[in-house]
Amino acid sequence: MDPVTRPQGRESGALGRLDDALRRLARGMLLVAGWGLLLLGMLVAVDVAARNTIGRNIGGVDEIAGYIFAIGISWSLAEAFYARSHVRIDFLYQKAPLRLRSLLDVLSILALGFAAAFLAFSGWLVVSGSWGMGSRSASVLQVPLVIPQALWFAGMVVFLAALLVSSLQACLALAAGRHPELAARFGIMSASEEAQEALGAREEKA
Amino acid sequence: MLANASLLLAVLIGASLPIAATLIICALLLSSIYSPLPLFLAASEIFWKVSTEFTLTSVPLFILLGEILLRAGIAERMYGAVALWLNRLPGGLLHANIGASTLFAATSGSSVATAATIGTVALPEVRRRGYNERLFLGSLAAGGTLGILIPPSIHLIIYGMITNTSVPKLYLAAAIPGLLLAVLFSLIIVVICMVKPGFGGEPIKATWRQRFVSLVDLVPILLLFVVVIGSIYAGFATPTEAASLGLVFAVVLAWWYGKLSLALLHESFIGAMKATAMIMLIVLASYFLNFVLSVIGLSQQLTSFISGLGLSPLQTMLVIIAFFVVLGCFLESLSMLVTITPLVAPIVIGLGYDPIWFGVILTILLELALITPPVGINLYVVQAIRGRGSIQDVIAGSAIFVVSMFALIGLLLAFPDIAMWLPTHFGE
Repeated sequence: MDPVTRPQGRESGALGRLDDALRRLARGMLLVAGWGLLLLGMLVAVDVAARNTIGRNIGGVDEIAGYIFAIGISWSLAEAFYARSHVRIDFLYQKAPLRLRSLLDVLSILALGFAAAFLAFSGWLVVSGSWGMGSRSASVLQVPLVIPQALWFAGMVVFLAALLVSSLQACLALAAGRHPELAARFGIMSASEEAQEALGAREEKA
Repeated sequence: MLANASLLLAVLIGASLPIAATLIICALLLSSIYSPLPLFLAASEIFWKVSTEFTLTSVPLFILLGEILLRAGIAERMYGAVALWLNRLPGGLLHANIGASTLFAATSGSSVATAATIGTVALPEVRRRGYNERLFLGSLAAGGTLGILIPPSIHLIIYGMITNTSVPKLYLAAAIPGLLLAVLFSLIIVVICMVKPGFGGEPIKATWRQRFVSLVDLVPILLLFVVVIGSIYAGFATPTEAASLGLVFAVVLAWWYGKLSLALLHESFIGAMKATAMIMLIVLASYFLNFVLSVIGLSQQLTSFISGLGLSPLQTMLVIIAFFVVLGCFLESLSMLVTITPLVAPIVIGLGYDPIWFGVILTILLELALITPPVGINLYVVQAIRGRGSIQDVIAGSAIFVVSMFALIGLLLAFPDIAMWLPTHFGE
């Protein structure tokens, strides 16, 4: 990570390491989710091919696709946060002075953290409900629902952890008046950054 | 209640809080104020059900497909070929911008990706060939919006989910209006370049031989179109299945062009999954918010408020359109789609309009939102790729294309069959 965005001071040392670890975890989980998505696509494609050639489906593909999708979403939430992909509307933000922006950035992280906590709480209700009832899916596969649901829940927990650590770091940065650091790490992405995003990692044009 | 809810949303969104968080906070606040029941407990079931919905899995698949195409360099080849074919029209490359956007839109469900891809390929030509820069920038920003109207469109999938209408029918309905809008864009360019010949830049020379040779570069994109859209229209694949077939095809194409690598896949995964997480978090939150709004009776209140105005169906529709145009200046299109559709669609359907037809109208309004300042993402994407001058140039250049969008909405109001003819004759 570049030094500008690295929190300084002894206190944030441990926090910084935790942040690094969470970032690596989030990236890893997102890549797993990506492979899952590609696999899902191939699975569904084979299913269509089977139906149109040998005349029958593999069976249960819809259901498995749904699980992969749900897990893929929740496993990507944290990395999307780190990449500042969760949409914020910036027409007033743009006009605000730096200090006010910093405040809005911190409020935004806290709000997203609250949403993540609610998501994790709801996810927990789903998992614990299925565990208690021993629920299985109402299909030929009879999947014990707690398996996909626990994996789905795990993504939300990481999302929440990422937000808790970042909230703490953002509050510390705000208290210390480190506005440029806040803007670089948690501010709204500028248009040029967003366009670069859309183009992916292609080389800069000459 | 209606006023309080709108005010709360406006304040939180205006304060730049993340849209998804705003929707969840609103839902929880409104339910605790206006309902004696613990509505928040219902969220768990909603989140799991929506997260495993098979039709919605087409969203990340289409995004990943687009990400892979982007990195396989297919857009560059395509742009060159389109430019050779459209060089005779007054305005030359301006039409290539629209044409290439149309083709790219037919394989990609996103407007930002369309504008960014075509913009990168096209922008170096502005100065080299002496085009009017504003018009050129406008054609890129406006052409890019075709991504969400021309199938496969991610917005139409989400609209179909929210309103419980068939996505294949929506795709059929959007096809003719999508092409018509591209033609209207080109028409405006032709008219401008006839009046002001200097705007059209230096024409590209092309022989028929060059043109036919260039067709090779259009083959992959056309094949992909047949695989994805053809399979939906022919009724042998659902949107999710079509997206999967398209994804496999895109991977094969990337391999054919020698671009397939672990790095390409990982970059594509990162792009696609980040977008998916962002979109789905908003979708999940909006499903919960809409559940709350309907339980506390706000949706019904809005419906009776609108019907209490005593307007004719057409007048009501015009009010709704005006509302979307204004809101579109400040909101980003996806947020607008998921928050407003569940409230407005029942009113529109109650007036006797077809939900499929309204899906097309709504999508055009969302396209408009993409190029209206101060919040119009395509404007910023094009400006960012340009990397110099003022954003005002892009805004001014795009303004003229807004006329085409309004013209199309007018045509659809007068002749609903422009959208409804295909789904009535070929649906099912």
